[in-house]
Amino acid sequence: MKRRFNFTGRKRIAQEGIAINIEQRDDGAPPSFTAEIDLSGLELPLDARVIVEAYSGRAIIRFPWGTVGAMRPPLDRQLVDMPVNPSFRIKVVAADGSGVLLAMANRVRPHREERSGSLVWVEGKDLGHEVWRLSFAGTGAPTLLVNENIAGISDAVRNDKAFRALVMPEVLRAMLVRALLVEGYGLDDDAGDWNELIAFVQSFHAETLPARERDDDEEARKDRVRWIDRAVGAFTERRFHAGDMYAGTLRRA
Amino acid sequence: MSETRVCRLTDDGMEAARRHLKSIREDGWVEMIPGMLSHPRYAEPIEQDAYVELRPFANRREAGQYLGERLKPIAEAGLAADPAMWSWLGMFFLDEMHHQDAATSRRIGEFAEAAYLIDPVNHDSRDKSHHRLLIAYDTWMQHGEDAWLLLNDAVGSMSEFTLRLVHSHEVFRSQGIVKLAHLLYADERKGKLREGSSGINKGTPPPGSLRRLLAVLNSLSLTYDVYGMTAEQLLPLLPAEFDRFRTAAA
Repeated sequence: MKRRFNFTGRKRIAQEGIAINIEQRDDGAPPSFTAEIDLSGLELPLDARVIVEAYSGRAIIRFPWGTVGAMRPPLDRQLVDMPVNPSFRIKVVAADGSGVLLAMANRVRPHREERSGSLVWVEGKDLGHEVWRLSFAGTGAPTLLVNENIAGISDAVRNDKAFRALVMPEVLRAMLVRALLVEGYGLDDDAGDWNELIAFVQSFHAETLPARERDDDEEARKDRVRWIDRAVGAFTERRFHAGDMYAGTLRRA
Repeated sequence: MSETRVCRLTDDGMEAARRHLKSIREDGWVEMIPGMLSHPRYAEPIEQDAYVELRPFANRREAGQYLGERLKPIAEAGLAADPAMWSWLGMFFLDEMHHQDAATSRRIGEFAEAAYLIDPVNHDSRDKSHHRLLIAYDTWMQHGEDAWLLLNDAVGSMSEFTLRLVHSHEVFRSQGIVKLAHLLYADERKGKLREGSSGINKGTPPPGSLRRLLAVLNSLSLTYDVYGMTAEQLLPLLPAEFDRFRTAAA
C-alpha cells in the first residue's frame, strides 16, 4: 500500500451525518435513492458544490446535489446500470473552479435492515463453483456473497452453526487484513472507515492494536499480522468453538 | 434498405447467439440460424418506436452517430443501457462490423462474446466495456468529437488506448479525462497516438504514459474532484513527467 497524503486539509464528513436509502421499484425500473446529508459544524463555504457519487466496482454515477448552503437533490436519482449493493461517496468541492475537495465521506453504505447486528451483508449470487466469497465492492465495504445455486445456503449462513464456525472466522480475518494491512488503518487518514470493525474486535479482544507509523515498517506489519491471528482466535473461541463443531459435523455425516 | 424494429434477445436468443459466436470461432463464418433476430423465441421487440437497418460503419463515429439517432426514443425512456438490447444489436450488426475484415477471413477473437453480447443477468460494467457497439454509442454520446481518436477507430477494434479509457466507468464517464487523454496523446495532424503514450508492455509504465496518467489522476482524486474537472483544469496539475506531452498539447 502506498501512503497517500491529504495536503489540502480536506475535512472528513462524519458517516453518522449521512443517511442513504435505496428504494427498489416494482415496475422493473432501476432503483432510486434518497440521501440526507448533514454538513453542519464543518464550516464549509455555503457556495461550495456538493456531489453524491454511487459506485460499485468499476461503475460510478455522479449526482450534483446543489451547494452546501442550498442542497438540491436532482429529480432523477435512478441507479441506472449499477450493480446491486453500491456504496456512496459525498464530496464537497470548492466553488472557485480549482476542483479542490473541501470535504469528503467515502464508503458510505445505504441503510439496509438486514445488516443490523452484523459487520457484513449477505447477498446471493451465482458464484460458479465457489461456495462463498467476500466482496469489498472495489474499494472496501464487505459483503459476504454466497452461491445462490446452493439450496438453503442463505439459511445456513444465518443459522447453521457448523457453516458459520468454518466461514465467519475467515471472513473476519479477511476484513482485518484488508483494514490493517492493505488499507493501513491508523496509517492513512483515508482508511478511517474501519472504526466499526476495530471497535467490534476490541469488544472481545482487549489487546492493544499495534501502532504502525509508516508504510514500510516491516516489524510493525508483522506485529499486526500476529494481532490479527490472535483476534481471530479470540473470536472463534468466544463465538464458535469451530473445531468442536466441525468434528460434530463429520460425526453426523 | 428495409428497417427492422429494435429488439432484445430472450434467454433462448442469448443461448443461440453464444452458440453462433462459438461456431464462428471454431468453424469459420457461418450463417445465423433463421429467425434468431426476429422469432419470438429468440427476440422480443422493444416497446419504443426505434428502427435500424443493416449498413456498414466506417468507424466508431459513424456507428455512434447512427445509433445515437436511432435509439433516441429508447434513451429518452431511460432504457438505453438494456443489456439484452445491446446483445441483439451486437448480433444484428455482426456481419457489418466484420465486412472490413474479409481479408483476414473475418475471424473473431477468443473473447467475442463480450464484444457482441452482454449477459442480462450476470454483467457488470467490465462486461459492457468490451461491447463494440456500446463503446461506439457511449463514446459519441458522452464525448463527441473530444474523443476524435477513439471515434476514428474501426467499430470492431479494441486498441490499448481505447481499452484503458473505457475500462473504468469513472474514467470513461469523465468528459475532462477523456479530453485530457486526447490533448496529451493524440496527434491531430498525424491522426494517431504520439510516440510513448501507450506503455503497452507490462511492468513499470513509461513516464508520462496513459497508464501513468490514470495512476496520477487516481492519486489526485484524494485532493481534487478529478472526475468532475475539465481537461483545462487538470492539465496544470500533472507533474513534470508529462511535460513532453503537455508541450505537444499546447
